[in-house]
Amino acid sequence: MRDFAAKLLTLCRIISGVDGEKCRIAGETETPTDLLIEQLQYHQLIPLVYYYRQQLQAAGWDFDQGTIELLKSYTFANISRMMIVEHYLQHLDRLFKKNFIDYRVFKGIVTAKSVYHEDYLRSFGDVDILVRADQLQVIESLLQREGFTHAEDLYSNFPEEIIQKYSFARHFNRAEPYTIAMDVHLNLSGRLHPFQFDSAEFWENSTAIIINGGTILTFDREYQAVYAIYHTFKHYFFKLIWFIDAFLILDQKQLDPGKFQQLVKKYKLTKLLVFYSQITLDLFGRLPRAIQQIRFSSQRPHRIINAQTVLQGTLPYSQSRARILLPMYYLPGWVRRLRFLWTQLFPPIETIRNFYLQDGPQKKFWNYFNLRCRAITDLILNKPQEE
Amino acid sequence: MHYRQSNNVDWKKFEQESVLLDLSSGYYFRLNAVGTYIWPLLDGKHNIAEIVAEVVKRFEVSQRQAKKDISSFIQYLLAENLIEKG
Repeated sequence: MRDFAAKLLTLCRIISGVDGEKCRIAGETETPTDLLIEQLQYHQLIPLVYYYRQQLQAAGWDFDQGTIELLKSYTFANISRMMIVEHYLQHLDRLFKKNFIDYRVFKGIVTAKSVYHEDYLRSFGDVDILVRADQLQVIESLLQREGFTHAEDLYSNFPEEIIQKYSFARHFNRAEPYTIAMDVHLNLSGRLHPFQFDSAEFWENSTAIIINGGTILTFDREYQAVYAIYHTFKHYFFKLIWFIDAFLILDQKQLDPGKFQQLVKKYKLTKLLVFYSQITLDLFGRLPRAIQQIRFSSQRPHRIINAQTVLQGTLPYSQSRARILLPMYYLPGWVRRLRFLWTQLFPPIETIRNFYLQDGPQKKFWNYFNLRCRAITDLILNKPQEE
Repeated sequence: MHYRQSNNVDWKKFEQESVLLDLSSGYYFRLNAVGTYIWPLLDGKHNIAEIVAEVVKRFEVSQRQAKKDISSFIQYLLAENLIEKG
């Protein structure tokens, strides 16, 4: 795994344009192709590795012809996937406009279109849209008419009013004639998340991107950057692609660093940004343009999350533990941290998923107490739990 | 005989090759360098003889071989509804 991490580090340095000689892979041992593909898929990096294969080879990453062919096949699949999403978004845009529905697209497709040399370099799964609450019913019925169904996921067991109240995203899937997954958001962060965004502000600060010759609205660059930083945190820094996204967004010449810093301050993300920047500097060998002035109080990598843990795609914590403990490092102020910890340990009774499973316990205080005791024990013992 | 690309097919070049996407099914097809060269010629204006002549000019292949390969390529595209006659 150390060998694989060294390869990914080389990829980061090539992306950031840091001198190739400084990032040569030393003493490479061969990674089996199936493991390599599996790891690259996990980090959503296959098209990028194929695209940069010559520079990677020059830096000492040894690919055999079979591996290159495999990477190429995956890249072709990604190109076709991008074409499908583009066509579908164009169709959806026409449908929404016809029904007077306003929306903003964000995340995967926007990042792919805005900051990568070629859009197919950014693999992504779902199409994420932000919509207005008063138009949600119309959107749901339109999507259902389009053949979408609610995805069977974490939130599908919650009643509608709880999904609305806590701003959970709705997940939709369509299998025919081709697979499209869509996440419909009413807010950019759920009510139980440690950071809260003013979605209306993001909505108002929008810009157009071109998709298949048509224009679709998304957030301004500075807002995309703020969201990208938050997103790496939201998913506990697990995937390298999120760091690459944020790096490329923050490295754009057109991005206004002053406006970005104001937003970071407004949404109390300063500590998180410093944390992100330390890891980014270790990964990419330099900081992106918009945050080059950031200074660190300590040069030592964090013992829990650092460039190495990101490259390896693992944390010493289970996801459930990470979700609760990591914000303790970068939430500003003890009051906020303790409030967050309390909400995580004792979340509102209606957001405990187990109550909504078919054979789950009844909604009684004693059952809630039992579930919390079990969750806290699992947390202390570092066992996985999903809620 | 003339052939033209179906309306529900999108095409994107990638290096020397290309992707054909059938939008009605979501299936995609990977074209090699020769297929990629031929695809734009399936515009309803070029006939088979003209396409064969273009391929012979561009690639090191005999006319007989080119004719045989292009015919089977066109049959495949027809069978997959990626092109139509006319």
